[in-house]
Amino acid sequence: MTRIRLGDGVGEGSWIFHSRFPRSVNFYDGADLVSVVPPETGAGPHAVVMERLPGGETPRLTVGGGRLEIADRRYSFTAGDVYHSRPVWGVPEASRLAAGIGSLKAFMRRHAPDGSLARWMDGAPRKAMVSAFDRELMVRLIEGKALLLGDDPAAGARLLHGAGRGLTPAGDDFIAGMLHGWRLRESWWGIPRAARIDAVYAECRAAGNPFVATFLREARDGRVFERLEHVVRALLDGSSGAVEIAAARLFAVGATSGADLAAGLVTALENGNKD
Amino acid sequence: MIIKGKIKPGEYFDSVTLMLVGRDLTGLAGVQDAAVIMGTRENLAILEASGLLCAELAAAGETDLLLAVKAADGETAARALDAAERLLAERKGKTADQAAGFSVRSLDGALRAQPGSQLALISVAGRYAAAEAWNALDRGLHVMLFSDNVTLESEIALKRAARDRGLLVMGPDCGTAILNGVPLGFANAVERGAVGIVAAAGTGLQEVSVIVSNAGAGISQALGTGGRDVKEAVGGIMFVEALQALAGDPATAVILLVSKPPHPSVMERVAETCRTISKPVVSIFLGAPPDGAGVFSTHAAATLEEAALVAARIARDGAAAAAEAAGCVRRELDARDATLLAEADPLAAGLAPGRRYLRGLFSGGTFCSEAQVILRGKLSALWSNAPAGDARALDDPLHSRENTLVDLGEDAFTVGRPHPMIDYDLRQRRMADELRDPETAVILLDVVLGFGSHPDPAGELAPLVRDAAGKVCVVCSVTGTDRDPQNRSRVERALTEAGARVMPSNAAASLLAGAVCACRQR
Repeated sequence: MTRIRLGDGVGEGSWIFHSRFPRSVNFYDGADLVSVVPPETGAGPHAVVMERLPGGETPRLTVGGGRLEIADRRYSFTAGDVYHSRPVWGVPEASRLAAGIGSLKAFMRRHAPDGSLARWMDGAPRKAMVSAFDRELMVRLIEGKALLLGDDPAAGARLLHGAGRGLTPAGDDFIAGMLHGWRLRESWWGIPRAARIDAVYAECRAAGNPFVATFLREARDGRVFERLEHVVRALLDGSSGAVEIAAARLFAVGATSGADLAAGLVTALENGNKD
Repeated sequence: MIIKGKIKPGEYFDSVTLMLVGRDLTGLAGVQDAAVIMGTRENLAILEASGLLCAELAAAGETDLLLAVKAADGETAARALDAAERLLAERKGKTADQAAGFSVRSLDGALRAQPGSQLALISVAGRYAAAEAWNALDRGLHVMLFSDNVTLESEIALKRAARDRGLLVMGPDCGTAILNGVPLGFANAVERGAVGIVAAAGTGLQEVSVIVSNAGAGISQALGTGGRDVKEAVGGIMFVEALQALAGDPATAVILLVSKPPHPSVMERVAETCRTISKPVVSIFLGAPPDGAGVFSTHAAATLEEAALVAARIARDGAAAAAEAAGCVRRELDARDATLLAEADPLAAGLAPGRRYLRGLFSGGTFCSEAQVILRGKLSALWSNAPAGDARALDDPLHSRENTLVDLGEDAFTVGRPHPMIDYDLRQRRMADELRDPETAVILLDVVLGFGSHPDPAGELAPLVRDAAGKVCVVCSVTGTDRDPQNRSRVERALTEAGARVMPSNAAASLLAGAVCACRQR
């Protein structure tokens, strides 16, 4: 029997076909986007992991009563097949976490892809950018980051939301990383971040494609996907080897998405003690 | 300058595609700037601020794709927009083809679609791979198991069952094979001929097959077994089965064995089998004492290059000339090596004071091992993340120390990333790091061509090689043929023009690189 895994954000319902990419088939119900992905992509709150992506016509995805139906095929699943996207983290040990964050930053400096925020915010020379669009984008990203950390996070969100190429623009990846980081600070140390999170999310909710909308909503709710969960666990462990392996898998998400999300995560975890 | 734009409603592409298409457009003659982006509110603002917004794009929505071009004239801009659409359509075509490939959803479906198939190539996540391999064996198919992370127990059980049924299981982690002239996985476009190869080393198989082919001979069959096959636990089940298959193959006149040193018990089984075979057998067990394999094989070589050239010569001159072939090849290689060593002194003399260490950055694990074997005793303080011979293990594979040979295909580098033979990013970054180190004297590279490998390795490496010129010596080998999609001669020419010393084999490159550093470390 073919085994599937699905995220705890999927719930019961029916989604209609939205799009197909080499590594995902996507379904949408007007609110949430559910993606069917192969095992190497890993689980997520709104992901269904299947050994093989369904081929041919896939007009609808339906989940209910412990069964998932897609392309006239039915799959059973149990509670054990559900990925829990809000793990219990425990309280971090400060020196380990600091070491873990240090390792992640070092990895970002060495391995963040060209064109990612992690690289630009590290002071990459502007002349290396071929396009005026890239140069202008960098200016806004740096300004947006400062605003997110300052007294007007909503203004930062307005600058960053939708900025960048691709389905999840770099600015949105960075915002998602920040939201995850703030949720972790709440969870670990009880530092209240809800007002800041709400202010930022309010600027992002009105626009964007379903991929971005789902991604940002997951971040607002503190729902992680498997590759991000592994990075957070590695940060808590503090071992540089664990961080590098987990970060490499995260950086493989999209072209720059994983690295941009990591940049936001580190920024949120490192900055904010003053609050 | 004129700015033109186009909206593609509801089109989705990943950011890699958009970045690459945008970069291609900017490189077109007459195009000053270009952007291919999603039409978010913020992106429109950025387009405006960067001088790329035009009236055609004003009505764009969040889910639209935008093409914007700034060009010398309207005709150039229009051509660039057409080019962008063509490039995007090609990308979409690839996606559609991939999707169409999924229309066969099971092994039985594939067999119905292509009756008479004899082999299943399995490349799925490791935990599912064994089950698929069992399905294939149950249907009487040979198996090439590209997947890794298959348990040892599964591998043993699969191989025993295959042996009992007269089938082959190549792998797990078997990346290369050539069957009846068809390259599978990472393989090269080689000539067909009389040399049959059994290899427990993927890039080793590629190196010997291309050297055989480039030497004017050809390959009958090249069977991979996966590296774990020659360990004690698996017992060389498939290595021996493949050897016997080639012994019975009428198209194979010479058998070439390639592996890191097998476990002694496996070596004994291989020896027993070889003694029953009347065909000449040439072996290269990297790092093993040559006299061990010399007992049972016609010739036990010290390098992949030597093994391939001897096998090619026997294939050309016939089995009767086998004894002579080894001596001839050895003499030719000795003469070539003497020339290389003579080149080392002047190359070393041209380097700045303080530059003395070797940094080998390999995409092929077998090449990294072979380099260590060749440099054993020639360079002291040799470090590697995949130590073989006398090399010591690096504590941190991300940082070199003294003379370092790094296998960039090791798990620490490849988890979640494409293999370095496909994606040069990792090696480019590491090379840049090594160039910044004032103690680096020589950078040693393997460039592996063929199906599945990067389509333009010279384009990836040449800029860094040019940067290195005058600072360090870059030595590389190119594993490939002129029939490979990348074209060996073209790649060699581009790297040579950039300033690299391009050698005919990994062995020669390692020897020259080691000799230059030895001069610097005297």
